[in-house]
Amino acid sequence: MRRSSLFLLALCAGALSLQAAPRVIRGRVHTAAGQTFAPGAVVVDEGKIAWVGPLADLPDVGDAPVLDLADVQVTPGLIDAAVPAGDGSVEASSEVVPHLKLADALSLSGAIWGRLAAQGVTTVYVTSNPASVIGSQGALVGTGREPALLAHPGDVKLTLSNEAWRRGQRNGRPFRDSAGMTARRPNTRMGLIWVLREALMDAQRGVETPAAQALGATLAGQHGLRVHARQRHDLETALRLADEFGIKKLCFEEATEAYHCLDLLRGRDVEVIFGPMFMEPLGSQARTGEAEHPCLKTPLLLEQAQIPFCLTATDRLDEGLAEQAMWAMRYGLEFDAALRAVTQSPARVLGILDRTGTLEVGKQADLVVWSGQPFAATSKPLLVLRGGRAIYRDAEQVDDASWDTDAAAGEAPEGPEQPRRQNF
Amino acid sequence: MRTLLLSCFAALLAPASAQNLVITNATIPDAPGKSAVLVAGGKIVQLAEGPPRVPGRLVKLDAQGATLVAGRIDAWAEVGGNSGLGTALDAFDPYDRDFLRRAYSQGVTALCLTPNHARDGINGLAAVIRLLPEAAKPEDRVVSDASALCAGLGVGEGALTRAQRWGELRESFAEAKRYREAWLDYEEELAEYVEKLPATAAVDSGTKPAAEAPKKRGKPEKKAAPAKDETKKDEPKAPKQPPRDRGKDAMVRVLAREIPLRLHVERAADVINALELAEAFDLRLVLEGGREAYLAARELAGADVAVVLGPAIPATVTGAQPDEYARGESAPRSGAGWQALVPLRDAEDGAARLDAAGVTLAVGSGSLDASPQVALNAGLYAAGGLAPEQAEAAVTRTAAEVLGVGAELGRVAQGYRADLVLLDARGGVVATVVDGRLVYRKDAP
Amino acid sequence: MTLRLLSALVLGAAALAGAQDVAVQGGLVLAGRGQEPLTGGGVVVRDGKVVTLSHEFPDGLRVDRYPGAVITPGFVDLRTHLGGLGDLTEAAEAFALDVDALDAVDPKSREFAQALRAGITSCAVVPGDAAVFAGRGGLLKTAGGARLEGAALAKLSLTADVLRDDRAPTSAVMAYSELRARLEAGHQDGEDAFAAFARGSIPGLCTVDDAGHARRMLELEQALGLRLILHLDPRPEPEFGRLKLAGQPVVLGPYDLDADPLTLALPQQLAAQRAELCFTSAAPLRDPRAQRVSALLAVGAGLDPDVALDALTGAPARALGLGDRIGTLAAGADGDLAVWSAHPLEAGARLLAVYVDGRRVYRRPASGGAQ
Repeated sequence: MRRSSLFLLALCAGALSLQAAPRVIRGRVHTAAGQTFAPGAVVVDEGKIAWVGPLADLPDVGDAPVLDLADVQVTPGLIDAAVPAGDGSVEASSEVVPHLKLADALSLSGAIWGRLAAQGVTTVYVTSNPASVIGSQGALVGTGREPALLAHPGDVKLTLSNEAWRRGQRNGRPFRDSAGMTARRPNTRMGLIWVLREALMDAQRGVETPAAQALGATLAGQHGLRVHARQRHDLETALRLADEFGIKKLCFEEATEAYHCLDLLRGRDVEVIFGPMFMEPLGSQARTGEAEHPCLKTPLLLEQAQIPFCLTATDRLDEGLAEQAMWAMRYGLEFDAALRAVTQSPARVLGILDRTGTLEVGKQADLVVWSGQPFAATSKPLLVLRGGRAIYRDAEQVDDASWDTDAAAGEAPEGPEQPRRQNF
Repeated sequence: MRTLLLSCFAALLAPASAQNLVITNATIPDAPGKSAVLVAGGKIVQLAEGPPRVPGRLVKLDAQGATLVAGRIDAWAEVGGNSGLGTALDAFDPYDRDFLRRAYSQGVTALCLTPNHARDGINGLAAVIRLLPEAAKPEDRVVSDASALCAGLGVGEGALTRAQRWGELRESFAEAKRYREAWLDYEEELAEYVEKLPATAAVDSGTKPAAEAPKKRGKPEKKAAPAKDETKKDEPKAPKQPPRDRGKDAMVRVLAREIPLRLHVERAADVINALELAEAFDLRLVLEGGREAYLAARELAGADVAVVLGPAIPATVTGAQPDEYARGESAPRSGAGWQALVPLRDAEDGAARLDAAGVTLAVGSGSLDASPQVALNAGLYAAGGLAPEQAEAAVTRTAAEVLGVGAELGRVAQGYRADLVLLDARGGVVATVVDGRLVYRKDAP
Repeated sequence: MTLRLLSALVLGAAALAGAQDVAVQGGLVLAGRGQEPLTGGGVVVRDGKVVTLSHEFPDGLRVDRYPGAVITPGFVDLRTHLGGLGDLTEAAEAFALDVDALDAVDPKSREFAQALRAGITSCAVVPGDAAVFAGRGGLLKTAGGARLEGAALAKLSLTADVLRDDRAPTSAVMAYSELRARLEAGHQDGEDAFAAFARGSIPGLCTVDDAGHARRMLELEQALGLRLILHLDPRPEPEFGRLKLAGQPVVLGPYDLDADPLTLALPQQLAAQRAELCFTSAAPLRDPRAQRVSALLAVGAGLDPDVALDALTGAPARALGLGDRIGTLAAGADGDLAVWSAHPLEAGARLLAVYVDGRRVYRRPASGGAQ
């Protein structure tokens, strides 16, 4: 309770610093709510979208500054619903930690938030690292050099992918050789399922541990339940467990082999946060060996099967969310569907569609001004707004004076420049 | 203050090329009675009692009573790494803007770059550079590309290893001496040989004065001999050229007293050993570090050996030390550290005692990263008892002299480089001038 | 009869060793924040306490004269392990609820004398950074290692140092979660150091290496009424400069001569937000003089020297709730003073003498020679 009021305070403080005067952005406007205005315009006022529509109907806004660049296109800010927290966030003293909150150790430093903003991503859900069987609660973060903790929705995450048991022998931080309490179960898939089932049973029985209490609240429907699974039989196991414990709604993360069980998924109340798509598995995907048979047409198949889905880049920042949409389009998804899959749909999954996710009057001014066709390999974000503030700005194209800019937002997207040190 | 800022602004707007600058209303300890300095072509051309009347365009800097001193020189800017043969110059990045900004803001305008002292043996050549904001050629920054040959005894090793290191160092100088003698003999024989050649050939080689090379770098006449071999019958045989060794060439320069040997020592016992080494091989010697040197102050003064002091306050008490061999608390390199856990006998007033005994003192920072704070470091020696004027000289005049660049840097005097610093009453840097150009002013936006 | 004689002797001895009456005169007295600098006067100390700053001294009072010298309060260092018998970092448990660093301190250690020669007259000796709640520390006078009764502070840490593989927590998430849960649970009637900190009766020095942790600790401080002293890890962290820290005690340092510009800019940034800066030497891991050197480096990077002096004297004392007793030369404060040859924030200033409770406990040797 106390914490949520603190978040409100933080949000209010954020609102106070917004610029007062309305500003106009012209260009081809994709609302992600079914409309495209070409040419169109968006009026941003007090951090919100005051007006959006065809340029011809633009109301009189007096001498409000106008951003009028040739060939630009405007979309809502991108939202990534499943960016995993780093390995350092894994609490290894227990494999079941749904009572912990990632927000409690969120680092506000580091270049990553600025890099996300530079890629057009305005909001991310930081999800628990899959090395825990039942991980910590995630956090919703607004990106930019000055990131903002927006909320922690309290969703609990079960891991069925093999990180949780492959790293079972040293389930803590990887690359450490020390044995200790981290040499623990599970170290097989069946052990993993047993730990899951045991925790869920404890939660049903109302055992008086913080973990069981937190999980119980989730089973009672107070929070969402996420499942990290890649392979087909893990997806199926998750659905089986859901039936066993009376869980109505599930949200899958990654779901690499969803294309194998479209029929099964179609009949259920599920959301799929699909991704990342790639030619070569890298990083954790490569380590798991579970993502060797990705189907690049999966987004198209999910769309055709009318299974609600959105796209995630997970921690593959080198192939960010815009690139994920590009891959989806390259393998058959229409632009409008791809745009929805990185804006409206993730906002719905995260329960923030009333605030963001589309360009509609009254919503937060979270938007991206693209230099050309969004997601095309030749396009880049020129201006990224979150709540009306410029969290990224291409300094060559958009001048500082016209936007209320975050400190250092108008720099190269490589991240904050560190003091150069002699390296001898 | 406003006027100072305004004229500074003008200076920054002025073109980057060498400009004429006049600093007025300054207090100049180096030149009592004078208050103005005229700079042209990057050098101090005139010191005057009042504002000099000079025709032509001038950038004016009203010091408003601030103290004008020579730019600070870090006499010990260690850049790490060592090749044995190389020069520390090659390891410095003159385009590191952040570093230059830090250095200017503390009035540091020149550095003596030295190779890493932690390794034993000959570590390479020290170089003196000026921190020019821009240079047409990289060489313009270099005041001396061979200020000294640096050597160390290694750190993190035990006392027995230390004895061995001394033996090795003596042996390498003995070898260098033999090498030098071999070359001197060769030069001599070559000269005799050339003399005995028939007149025609003698005219050929007469263009190359035989006396040029031997004492200096030992550089030989290139291929004087083989050409003559064909004409030999009963003529004298050409002498055989000894093999060339680049590493020993640098040591030959030390043996020829052309450049000093700069030896890193901290302990009094090592100071005495160093003095003996210098005497045995007739070397010019400069010591680096010297935290126990005050215990051998009389000997140092007697031998007229200067000391370049490092950090006044060791970075850590339990961690790495300038001479880890002393404490041994960090992991020793060779596993022999356990036998040598003798702490250094630091004394807060060690520098003052060296000075009182008449030892020439320069102060360095001990590492390139700390170079910008070298004046603060000298100040800490003053806090420990060294006379404040001596502390200031140890990063200006004396430093330049110890580094062998005393005719160019380190003083506010006619003909010297216009690397200057204006200080406020508390010793804070108000403005820094390098090569006649204003490169820093306080309260910059 | 004998008894009376004895007690008289004992009383006399106590008066001789303890309280002292003296006037210390110099060229300038910088008595601390809120006090006008006094030129040409001195500090009158009776019974070990400052009575007044004055140009005239009562008849019969001993007057120590230091012509041209600058007199300041003795320095206060909030974070030291001085006198520690071995390591003061107990890491077996993440919550060492009632470990007391003073239980492992040798009051006769030479390290206190070294600190004294750096101008430090009072130092907090606290446990290390390897536990989330590492226990409590106390305040000692460096002259003789006498404890200041009633002065205690808790030591907390939210850094990578607290994470270990052989006990919980292994992650920062758990470290903070458990700390918050324990603090929120409240320990109103507990006797241990944690309870005392949780109910706000003693301050807590919390080391953080990330701006996120700093913000969360500040939230907790506000929500729960804690008395928090933030210690910002001396490694460069650009986000520290963006923290909102008005009125917040913040411990900085120690800084080395090779500290990078980002680190050295921080004191000025925080001072501009009116944070209560305090510098530490982390002695004996560093030379105690590192406290003044940290302040000197910050001044070189633009910090106001008066703020820097306060950060060595008054601010750390106020952070401990002892602002009227140490770190100041206001009337009634302890007669702890340092006599310098120049303003102590000039690099070349020499420490000429140190007084603790009105007794001269250090005097610089006449010239050049050894002590």
